[in-house]
Amino acid sequence: MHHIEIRNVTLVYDTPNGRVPGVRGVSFATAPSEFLCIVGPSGCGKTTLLNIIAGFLAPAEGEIRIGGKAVTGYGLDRGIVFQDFAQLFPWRTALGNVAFGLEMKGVPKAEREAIALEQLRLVKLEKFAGAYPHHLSGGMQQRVAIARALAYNPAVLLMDEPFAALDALTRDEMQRLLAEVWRATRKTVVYVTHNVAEAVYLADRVIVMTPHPGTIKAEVPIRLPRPRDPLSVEFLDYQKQLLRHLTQKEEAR
Amino acid sequence: MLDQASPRWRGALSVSAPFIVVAALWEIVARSGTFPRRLFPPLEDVAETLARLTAAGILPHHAFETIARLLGGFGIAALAGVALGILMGRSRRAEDLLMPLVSTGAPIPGLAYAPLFLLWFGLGNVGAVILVAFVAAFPIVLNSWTGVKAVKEIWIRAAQSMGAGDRRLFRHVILPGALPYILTGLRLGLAQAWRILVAVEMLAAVPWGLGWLIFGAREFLNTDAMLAGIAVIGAIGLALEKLVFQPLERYTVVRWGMMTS
Amino acid sequence: MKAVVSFVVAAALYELVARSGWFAQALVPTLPAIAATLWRTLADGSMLNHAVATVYRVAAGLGLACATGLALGVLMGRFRAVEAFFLPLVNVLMPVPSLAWAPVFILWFGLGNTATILIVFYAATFPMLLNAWTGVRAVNPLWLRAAGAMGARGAELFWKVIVPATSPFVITGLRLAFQRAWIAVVGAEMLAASDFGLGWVIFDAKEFLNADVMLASLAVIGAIGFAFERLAFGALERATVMRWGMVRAAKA
Repeated sequence: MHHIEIRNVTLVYDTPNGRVPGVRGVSFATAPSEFLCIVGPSGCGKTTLLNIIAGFLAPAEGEIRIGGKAVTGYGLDRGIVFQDFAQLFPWRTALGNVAFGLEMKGVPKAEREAIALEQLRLVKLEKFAGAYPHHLSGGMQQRVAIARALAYNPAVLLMDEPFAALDALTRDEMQRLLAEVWRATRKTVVYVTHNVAEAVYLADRVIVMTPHPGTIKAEVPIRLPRPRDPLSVEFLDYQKQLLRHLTQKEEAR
Repeated sequence: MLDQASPRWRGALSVSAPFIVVAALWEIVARSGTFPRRLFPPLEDVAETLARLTAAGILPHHAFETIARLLGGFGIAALAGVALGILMGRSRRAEDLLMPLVSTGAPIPGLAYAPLFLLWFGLGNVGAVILVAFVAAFPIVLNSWTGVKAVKEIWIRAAQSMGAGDRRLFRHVILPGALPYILTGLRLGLAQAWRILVAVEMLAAVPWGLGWLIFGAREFLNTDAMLAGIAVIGAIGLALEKLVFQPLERYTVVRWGMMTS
Repeated sequence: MKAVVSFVVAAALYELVARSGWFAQALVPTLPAIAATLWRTLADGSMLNHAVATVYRVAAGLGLACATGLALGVLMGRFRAVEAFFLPLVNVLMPVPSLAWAPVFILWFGLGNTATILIVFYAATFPMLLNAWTGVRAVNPLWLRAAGAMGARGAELFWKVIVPATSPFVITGLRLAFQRAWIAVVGAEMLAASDFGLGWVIFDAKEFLNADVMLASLAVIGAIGFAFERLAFGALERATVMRWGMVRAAKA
């Protein structure tokens, strides 16, 4: 059984210079609780693809099914985390941000705050529940964003380079934390990144995309035990393999 | 040909549509007889008065006097305001002495000074122009001062290390660095001057001027002349907005790199 | 401390001019004379009555302006058709100084509160409207997406996301609207009020060459404006946009 199914998805952008294909004929599927990474250079359509799965963009062709149901528009079955720290609502505390989705669902105040606090504990921020986003560091803000996306218990977590704007040390810490959170929640994750090491560290399987137009170049299952050691020979071999896929196309041109 | 012309026609139509709707509503109310015609004249009366007063040279004369006062008052405000603002930005002593006075005076509505100024400087042109200058000077002083303060210390140090003396430092570093703020100040000052001037012309006993025209027309229930005067005031205001404020704003905002979209 | 020095210097200069005898005492009264007048008018309650009349007119005009400006501005920001219809009208009406309407309003409604409040309303509406309109269009699209993904729709999206996201602009609009209203009310009272209000006092004092009354009223006008500006709006900003760290947006 597939949890997310993407079938032959194509999206075309209308630009002043004519119609430019953003994504062409992309198909893949994930198992339940699978951690899938989509890797590619900027402009390869990976973020576009994520926005299609999230329901913010409608594909010109093809279809998306989640748990067997066709996706039309966005919904509470998918949680989403963006790259930009500004995604948090500055007028709400960390707790208020995390509780937002439950509030929209109509969950009573006491209950939703208890759930939100539980989510904040999962990302180790329960002490900062009452802080406003501008008092939190970038890494903490992204952790709140992850807690917020998980709080209303979506089946799928969609992440668009959530750690790309963080410094290297914080990013390592965040990756470790995310791996823990994923193990604890067993969500299906679709994670977009341009960072090959990040993909090997996090993913069960990596999809490599190439641009102009965005198509799938290769699929690489990562068969490493967790927690993974980024300095092991196998880890570095996977990194090399992915990098080879990413650079080959330029040689072919 | 027709295909190319049609979007432009549609654009013109969508801009004029609101005016046509409002004019039609006005016309319906005016012709319904609910209000006396003298108080609520139909638009053709206003248009006719506008044409008559323009042809007789009365309206242009009023408009000319108003614009002359605006330029006179604003000119004084610009010269004095920029000089004072830069002085306050450069000299610690001038800043300490003048800043409290300026920041206290700025929030007081300029019109509140009007009777005082008219009392001191007379009911005519002198009082009106000095008041306009005084009121317009506040935003100019404050923005020029901010501008000089906003010139980065490292630019000044860099220029000094490259051998720039006081005068060249001023001309090549401080003035261009402060320019966007000064221009903003001038824009705000001119807008301020415009709003005040129309009111001052009503309060002061000046023989010509658009403010006086519309206020004087009240005595004879000449609503059509008032509305014609307001139309000219609006036209001058719109011209200032489109020809002066907006280009200035675009320039300063672009210079600041504050453009968001 | 330095501010005190500059006020003392300015006051001394003024006092010197006032006592020099170059100008008539009635035109340039000494500071003690102004202070005495201020004290007298405060003590007998007349200044307070005028101030209440003025504040009432500002509050009424500003209240109307906020209701109209906010509603119209938000609608213009959310709906293309509303924007297309009202924007040309706003562009044409805005450059007309509010006091230019004074004679027309006086003719239609007579001297008194109605004409004065309408002038204040006209002055204050445009800054409110423009800021609400800009604010709604400037809402970070990421917040709309995030809220949409969490199931916010319609009224909830409006009240829980668009309203707080727009608040820095709305508060700036309110500040500007008050400044405009405060200027307009003084002018409107000079032209259109019958027997109450600080603007009317100043204008009336001109007839009798009472410069001390003028200057005392001027001080009261300044004090009230300052109090609103610093205390009311300052507190509002500290409670909202400053607490949320959105104050940069408010300044830009």
